[in-house]
Amino acid sequence: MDTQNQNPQTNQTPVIQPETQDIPMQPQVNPGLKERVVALLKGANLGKYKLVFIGVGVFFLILIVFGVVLSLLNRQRVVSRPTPTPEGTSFQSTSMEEIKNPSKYATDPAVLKIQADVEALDKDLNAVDLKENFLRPPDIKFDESF
Amino acid sequence: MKKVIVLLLLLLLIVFPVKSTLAQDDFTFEKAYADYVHNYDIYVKARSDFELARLNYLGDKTLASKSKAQDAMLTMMQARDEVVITHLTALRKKLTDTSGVSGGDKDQYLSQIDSDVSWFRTHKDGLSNAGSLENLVDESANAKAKFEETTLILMYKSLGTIQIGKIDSFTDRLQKIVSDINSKVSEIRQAGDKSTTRIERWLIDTSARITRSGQKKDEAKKLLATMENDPDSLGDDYNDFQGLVIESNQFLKEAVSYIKEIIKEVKTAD
Repeated sequence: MDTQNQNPQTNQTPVIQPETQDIPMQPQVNPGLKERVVALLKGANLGKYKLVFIGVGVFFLILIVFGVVLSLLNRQRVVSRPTPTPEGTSFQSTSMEEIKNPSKYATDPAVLKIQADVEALDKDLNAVDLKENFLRPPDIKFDESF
Repeated sequence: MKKVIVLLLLLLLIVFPVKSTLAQDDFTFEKAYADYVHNYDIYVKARSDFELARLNYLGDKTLASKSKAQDAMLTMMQARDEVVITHLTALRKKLTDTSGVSGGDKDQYLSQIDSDVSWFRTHKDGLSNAGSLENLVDESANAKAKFEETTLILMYKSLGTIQIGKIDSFTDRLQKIVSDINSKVSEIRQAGDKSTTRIERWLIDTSARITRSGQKKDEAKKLLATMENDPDSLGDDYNDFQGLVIESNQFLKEAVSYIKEIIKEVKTAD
């Protein structure tokens, strides 16, 4: 007996049935927006948005150029200003060192205030450019003749 | 589209503060002086070009060289007017920035400066209408007359007024200090815990120095007021004026030196 024929099902290659399990659904995309994006990417509807994109691009370009120019102008106008520093502290300590036999007025606030005022005036008197020769009338000639 | 508009508005909000920051930049003396120096350099170059063109024209007397001389003279004259304008503008800024200049003097000189700036600006604008070299020579004579009659002495007197203002400002500060010291010395004398005899004697010497400074300043002011409008002697008169101002300042320095000694004496026990 042909045993193979007796049980034809036993050697048959198992057939894998396609999975019938449902694949999870992707999030629903707004068909209108999707269509528009696709159309835009394909260039089908580019003309409609072209002007807006070009306009925004040009505007950004102008802003960048404007910003660079402004930054250059600002850089030229920057004036370095010295950081304010307290004047009284060091002034008092150096003055006190000079006096070996201080009176009760050595630490008197009114005296120290006068001393600070005098030091400031002394500094200004020595620093001032009274002549200011750079502002003398310009050397210009009016002697044209032919 | 709405998003684009919102984006544009946001960008404008970023740009506008930058503009307002720039608008806050003031016209400083340093800027005015830099303008003057820049324009003086332009004038020196234009003058040199004009001299060359003039010599060429005097040499060959052609119409072409005459035309070139006319163009060079126009450029030079415009640059010269601009030098006067920017110098007066720098002086104006210095006058307004100097705290010691009294209101009356300041207003008087500012008004005269504005008048002369206006004259030279009008003159400069009208130069391009001059149709010939001869017209330009006439216009140059007009500018010379204006400069020598009013502008030159105005420049010297404005500069002198600025210097007097500085001395006045220093003197005011010094007198306030002397007043404060007098009050303190009076307080010490009443307390009786320290001898003030020497201090009071030194204060008299200090006041004498301030008085001498004031005398020199008055001499300087008188010289400035009587300065004659002679272009040949103005420079020398101004040097004399400056000498008096320097002397006045020297007396103030001595007074300050005395006050420093007085303070040291106050702080030292008997």
